[in-house]
Amino acid sequence: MLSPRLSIAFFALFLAAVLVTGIFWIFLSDRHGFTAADEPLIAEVLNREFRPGDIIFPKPDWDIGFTRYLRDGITDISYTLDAFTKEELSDLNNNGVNVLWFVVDSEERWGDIRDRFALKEQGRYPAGEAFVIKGQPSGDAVLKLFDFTDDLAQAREVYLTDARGGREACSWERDRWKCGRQEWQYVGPQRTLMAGRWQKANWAHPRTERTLHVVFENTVGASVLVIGSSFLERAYREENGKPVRVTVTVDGRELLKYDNENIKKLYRHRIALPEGAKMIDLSFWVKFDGARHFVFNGYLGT
Amino acid sequence: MTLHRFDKWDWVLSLALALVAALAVMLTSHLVGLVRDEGFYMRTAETTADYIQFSLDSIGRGQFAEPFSKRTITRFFEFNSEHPTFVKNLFGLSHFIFYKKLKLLSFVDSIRLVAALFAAATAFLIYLFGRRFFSRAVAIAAPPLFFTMPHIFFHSHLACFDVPILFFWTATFILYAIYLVERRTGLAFLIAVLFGFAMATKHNVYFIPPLLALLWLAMHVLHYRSLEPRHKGFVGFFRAVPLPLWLMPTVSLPVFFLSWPWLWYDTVKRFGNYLAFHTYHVNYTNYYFGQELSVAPFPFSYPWGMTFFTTPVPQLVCFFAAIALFLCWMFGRGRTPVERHIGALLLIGALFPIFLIALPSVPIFGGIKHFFTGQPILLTAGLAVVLGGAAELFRRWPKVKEQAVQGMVVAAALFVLVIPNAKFVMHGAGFFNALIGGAQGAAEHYMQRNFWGYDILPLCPVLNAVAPRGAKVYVMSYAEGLNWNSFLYLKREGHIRNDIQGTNELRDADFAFFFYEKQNESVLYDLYREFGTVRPLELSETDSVYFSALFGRVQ
Repeated sequence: MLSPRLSIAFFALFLAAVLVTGIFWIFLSDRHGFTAADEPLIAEVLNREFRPGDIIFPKPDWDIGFTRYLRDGITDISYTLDAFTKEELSDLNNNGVNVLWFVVDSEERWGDIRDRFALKEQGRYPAGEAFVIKGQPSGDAVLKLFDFTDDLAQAREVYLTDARGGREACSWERDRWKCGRQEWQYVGPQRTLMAGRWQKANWAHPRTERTLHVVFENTVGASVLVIGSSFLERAYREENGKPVRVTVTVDGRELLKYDNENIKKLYRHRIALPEGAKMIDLSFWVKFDGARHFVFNGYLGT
Repeated sequence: MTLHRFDKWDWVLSLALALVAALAVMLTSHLVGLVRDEGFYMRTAETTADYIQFSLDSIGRGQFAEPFSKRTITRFFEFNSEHPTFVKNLFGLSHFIFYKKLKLLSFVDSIRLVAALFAAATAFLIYLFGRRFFSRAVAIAAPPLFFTMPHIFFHSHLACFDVPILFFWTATFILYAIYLVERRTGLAFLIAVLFGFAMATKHNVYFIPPLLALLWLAMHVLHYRSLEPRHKGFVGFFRAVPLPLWLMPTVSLPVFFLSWPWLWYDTVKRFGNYLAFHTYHVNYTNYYFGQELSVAPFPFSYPWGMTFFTTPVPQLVCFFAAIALFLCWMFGRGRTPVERHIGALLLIGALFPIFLIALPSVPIFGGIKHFFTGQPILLTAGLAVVLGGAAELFRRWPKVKEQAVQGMVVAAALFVLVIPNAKFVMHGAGFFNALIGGAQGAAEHYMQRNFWGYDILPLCPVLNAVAPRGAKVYVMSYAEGLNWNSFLYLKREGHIRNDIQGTNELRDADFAFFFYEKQNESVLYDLYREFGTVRPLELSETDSVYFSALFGRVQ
């Protein structure tokens, strides 16, 4: 056996462990989260204040009991706050048209979120011990003038080209640009996870050795373009999936080119547009289109 | 090193503890949903039971060779042929006897009975180890402390291979340790036979013979000078090799092949397919401190960290005490070569499963069930140190009875461990200890909350109550949710109404089960938009952390 001293030390540790275990599981294991009494109060605020386009961020994101009381039609809840950077969270804001709601179980929790994302508190609704906070990005947030997802229908044209000069136009049908007979051959808006960050984006599954062009006209006099792209999980878990080459061309001049690799990553670029920029062509090319579940989003701003 | 005798009282006590373990598992089986793997193994149990019936019928007709023909073997053993069949044969046999013939148990329980019996065998084994190496007090206290680890208790219910392989892994190491002291020929054969069944259960154990051989070789070289003369020299070397190591290829291999009919034909091709399946096994995504582990290399700390945070703290103290004890046996002054050998052997038996998964290139295909195989060794030896410490301390106060103190300490530990076990019996794979903050702390750190859609039983009564006749429920089979077979078995078992249909298409569904894993979150967002609501009809939660939910489409 071990030396008496060491054995006694382990015995003392074991006793302490029993004590800690008892205290923790009896008194402490359920000390955070939203109380049952607060859940309907939280929902009452959101049911009253929520407008289409708003996004709700509950924190903690593992306690969704309050959703039991939410009215139908509220579906934009994101459990991915921790994955965002300050800039990415700021991209979700639509110039104050929509609101980011933060449902938190304590003042301390809200303080952490506010400081991390440099948020401005616009309103506060106590719900028992919890809070529902109306927050907006502060500081150097870009003014959004044209959103590639919200305004997708206004794209000047969407089409495919191939290396031999072939061209195939896509047509707008109901809520998307149809680019072929297959179910997945379209460019259309959806809510999805871009490398773990839930947000709106355009599905743009590219086709083998063809270039998918989405062309927007800068009718808003924008001086800045922000573009984000990523593969969805189904794609990057495909071991031999090919990267998508993303090119941004403005009035025939190539301003940005990068390979969206087959990994879990949100590619985000912000580029300055030349003075008087008119036609903006976002294009996507892939060597082989197997499981290339690919999305992009972004906006034109100042 | 001398071992304690195992007398008739030990037989009575060990068998009683084994019975209690089996009863505890069977009596709580109705609380544990069907995990994904069970969907496959229960289907296999059905085909094996059909094979038994077919064999009896064939023999009854005088066609004695028919059950062993290639056509028959292919027909009944092709399904799930990526895993050996020993435990699946037992599932099938139990299902045949207790469900099909005697109608004593329900469909699920007739198969899970085998799991309960392996839990019983493990309790017996732990008692044996505790009694022979340490004391009767350790032997009595260790099995209940082992089964009050929530992951162990949860997995003990399942008609899977994880607790059976835990039993075989531990049995091989413990019996081999006893063999090193006693050198009994009968024990060597028992080890070889058990190891054959171990190979026929799961491939984890293939590492054992090289490990034992290398360890023996190291000990042989290190203690060469103190060897008996007949074990020296070239011939002596072969004479010194422990008998179980000779018997593993000569006895264990035939046992393995005999127990797996699929290998009786096209042996090389089929065995090659089996090895290839596991060599190139896909990774199942796991979350570890917010890191999505879906493509190798994985962090070396993963299985160590998971063991640290998923073992209740009292048992964790035992684990560390056991490691200290084995190191003391290996390196302590005045230790005999056999003691050093046993110290190293038990340390390897306890920690190698964790070390193996820690290697960055090894696929992670599941949770801690893949590396908890050595925990009976750690717990029992560690408990011996702890109770030894209690004895040392109270020896200084002669008025206090040593056994009474030991009994009270163990009783207190069991009492406090009842609480987490009660909380997690339905979602045991989601248990995390107090050091990380329990379920809430683990969720806060984005640890893997659950695995593959078994946490369904609290949702079923609500579905049954609200679903109109013929309603369709999304079961999430394609997204690490409920196994389709498991869904059918839940209906057969009466948990889900028989007229309710399953679907894997959200757009076809009236209702939807959602099983939380971080990597499944996209399904939740799709579900919200498809159904037009975020309002769950029911949530399965522990300590406010949700594990699964039932949703209904807004009409």
